[in-house]
Amino acid sequence: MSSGSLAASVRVSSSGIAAKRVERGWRILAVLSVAALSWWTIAAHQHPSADRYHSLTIKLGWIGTVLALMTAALSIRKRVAYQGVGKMSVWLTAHIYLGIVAAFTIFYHSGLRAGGPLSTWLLAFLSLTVVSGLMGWWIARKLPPLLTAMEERPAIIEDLISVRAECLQGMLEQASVGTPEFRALVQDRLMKETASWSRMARFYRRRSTLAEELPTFRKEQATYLASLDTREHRAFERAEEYALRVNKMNAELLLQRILRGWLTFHIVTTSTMFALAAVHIFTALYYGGFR
Amino acid sequence: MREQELTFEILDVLRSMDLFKGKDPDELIEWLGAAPFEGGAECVLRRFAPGDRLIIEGSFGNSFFVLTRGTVIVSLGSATLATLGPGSFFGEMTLISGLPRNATVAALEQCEAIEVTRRSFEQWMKKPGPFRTLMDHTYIERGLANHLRTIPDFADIDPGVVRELVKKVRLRIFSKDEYVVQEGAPADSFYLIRDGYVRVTKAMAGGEERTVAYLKDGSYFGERGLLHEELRNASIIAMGKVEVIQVMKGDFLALVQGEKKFADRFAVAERRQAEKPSTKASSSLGFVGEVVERGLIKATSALVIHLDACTRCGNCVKACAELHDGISRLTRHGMLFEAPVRDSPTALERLLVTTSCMHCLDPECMIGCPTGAITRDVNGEVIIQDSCIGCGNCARRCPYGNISMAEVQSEKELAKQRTGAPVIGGYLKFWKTAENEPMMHEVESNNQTAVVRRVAVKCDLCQDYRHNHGCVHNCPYGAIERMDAGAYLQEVRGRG
Repeated sequence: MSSGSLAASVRVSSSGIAAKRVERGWRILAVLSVAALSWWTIAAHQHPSADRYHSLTIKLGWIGTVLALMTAALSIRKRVAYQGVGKMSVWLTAHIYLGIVAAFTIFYHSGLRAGGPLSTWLLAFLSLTVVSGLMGWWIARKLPPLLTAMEERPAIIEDLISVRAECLQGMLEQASVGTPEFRALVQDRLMKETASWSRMARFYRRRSTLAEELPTFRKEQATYLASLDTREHRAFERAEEYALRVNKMNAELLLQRILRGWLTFHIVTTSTMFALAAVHIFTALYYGGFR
Repeated sequence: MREQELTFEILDVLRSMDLFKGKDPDELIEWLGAAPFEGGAECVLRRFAPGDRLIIEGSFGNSFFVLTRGTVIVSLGSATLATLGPGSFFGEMTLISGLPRNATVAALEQCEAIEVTRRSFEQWMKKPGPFRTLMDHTYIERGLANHLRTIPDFADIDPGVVRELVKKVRLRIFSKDEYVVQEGAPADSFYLIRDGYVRVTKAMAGGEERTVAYLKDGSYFGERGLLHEELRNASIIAMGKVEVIQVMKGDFLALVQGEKKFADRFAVAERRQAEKPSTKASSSLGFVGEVVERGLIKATSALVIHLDACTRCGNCVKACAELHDGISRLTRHGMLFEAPVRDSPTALERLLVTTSCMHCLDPECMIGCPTGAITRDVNGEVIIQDSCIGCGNCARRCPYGNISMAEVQSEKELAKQRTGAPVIGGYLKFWKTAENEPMMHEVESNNQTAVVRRVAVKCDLCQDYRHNHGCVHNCPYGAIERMDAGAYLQEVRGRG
């Protein structure tokens, strides 16, 4: 018996390897840019001439504005997508590193002083934008492996929501099988416990699953559960199965919502920052420039 | 092919060929000259200048050629295999096997050749007669000669021996899960795998059947039983459509006795096999085994999501839908694999091979398309052309469920139908029967009547767009990629 070598032809397209290479390039560029900006700022700051420092801050302000606008171009890329304007992964990498350089530039432009109320708010929103962006970066790297480990099969958020709704409906149907007391047990205890934030916190903090906790729940309710008739007992077991599924869906949904939700926060802070920046630039030009 | 193009010269050439034996000029005109869907072929008379390449080695083709004037040269790499003159034919190997062209054919002088499409070729092959008989024989002859050349142990076999062998061997096709060889059965033949994958299994204590190896095209088996007069020591099971060349015991032993070098080579191979560590169980064949077992190995361009990097943003699906009139050609469902991580061979990551066309090496979907709409281009990309009538044959044939039927609404289609434009109108005249009437119907949409055309849709690798692969291009995290399963496996094996 002889085995031939497995056919080798070219990998058709790979985004992962290329993305890593591009990221390395941007990282080097960002470090060099921040170093150059820092050196420039420190050198000008030590200079006795106030005019020179003033001119530097103005320049840094313009550079920062241009960089911030370039950073924001990612949202345009998302909207004019698919027209051969470069890989999205490259755009995202550029967005991250240009954003970091832009933030440094604007902080140097401010001289790390809050100034008046407008510039204080502007700095606060710039900080929030940077923090939310970095948070998003961290989330995009850390959460997918967590989600992958949790899910049996990858599911989209819409599917999770609909399956969860079906399971909750199933639990309600099982609850309606028995007496009002049984209904209360399933609806008020089991359903609420399944969907509670404290349960979710326990899951993420201690990795304690509902399957592990259900025996305790059963023990607490042992007397009452022993009094159930066969039909109610079967309904309770089904309700427990639904509870386990709902619990799992909740855990996955939370991660998927975080994966999407941080972006909303990032967009709100960025939009506010740009609005404030527009006012800041206008006032600076009006009072110090073209008037 | 227009009737006036079928000159007496061409008809004389064709009538001299064994391929069209017994056909009078009228029959030939009917075969070659009639319009599509009327039993005739979609043939085109093509002219080639000296140096023009009719077939390129390694490319995928959809046609078969009959040379009617001039001479062509057949070459493999830098070696010349043959020179063919009028009345020769070539290009049938790819159409039968689905594999890339295995030689280059170039014009030596001004040439004329009739190009026959895959659809017509398949129709001709369905009818018993000299065409099919000769084609089957040629396929074995050329296939065996080319195939032996690719196997190192047989590469130096004497062409005369091959010619003799061709007369005796049988080409056998097995379907999925069919036994090629049964463990414990008497050894009666030697086999060469021409196309496909087989699983080698052994019965363990307790009756459990365990996979111990996988073999692919270019491999051979069955020699041990014949040389040592033993019973089969393992079963060989087809993992999909498998083509094998069967050499019967007597012919094999005559070959080995005639050429001593083969006996020596088999002995070396046997020693090498014996020195290998004990056979592995299927569970330890791990990722490689799973890729072969689940058919992913056939993929030349599988769409793979690295789940540990995927944020489930859905940009890939959105991009695909945006590029294809709102109908995404991929869903984020499919086969899950635990694969070794690229930078760390000991760690595993989860891969999702999405429900999206894998552009198989040997696409089953292309078999029996009534209009020849599903085809593959020279790069091997399987594409569905506008002539799709929505019969669903390809979708049913795809073993991975990667082709779906969609209803395409468009005013353009309505206009085409009204004017009887040739693109689809011609086909509709023939195909609009009571049975397939629902394929095209009108629906009320936003108070406007739009024509809904049922068509097969699948990933076309975004070939109409300059950047290619919308899904890969629009993933912000670089989590999705297209990969050739064979190359990927080799990479994984290389990493140990």
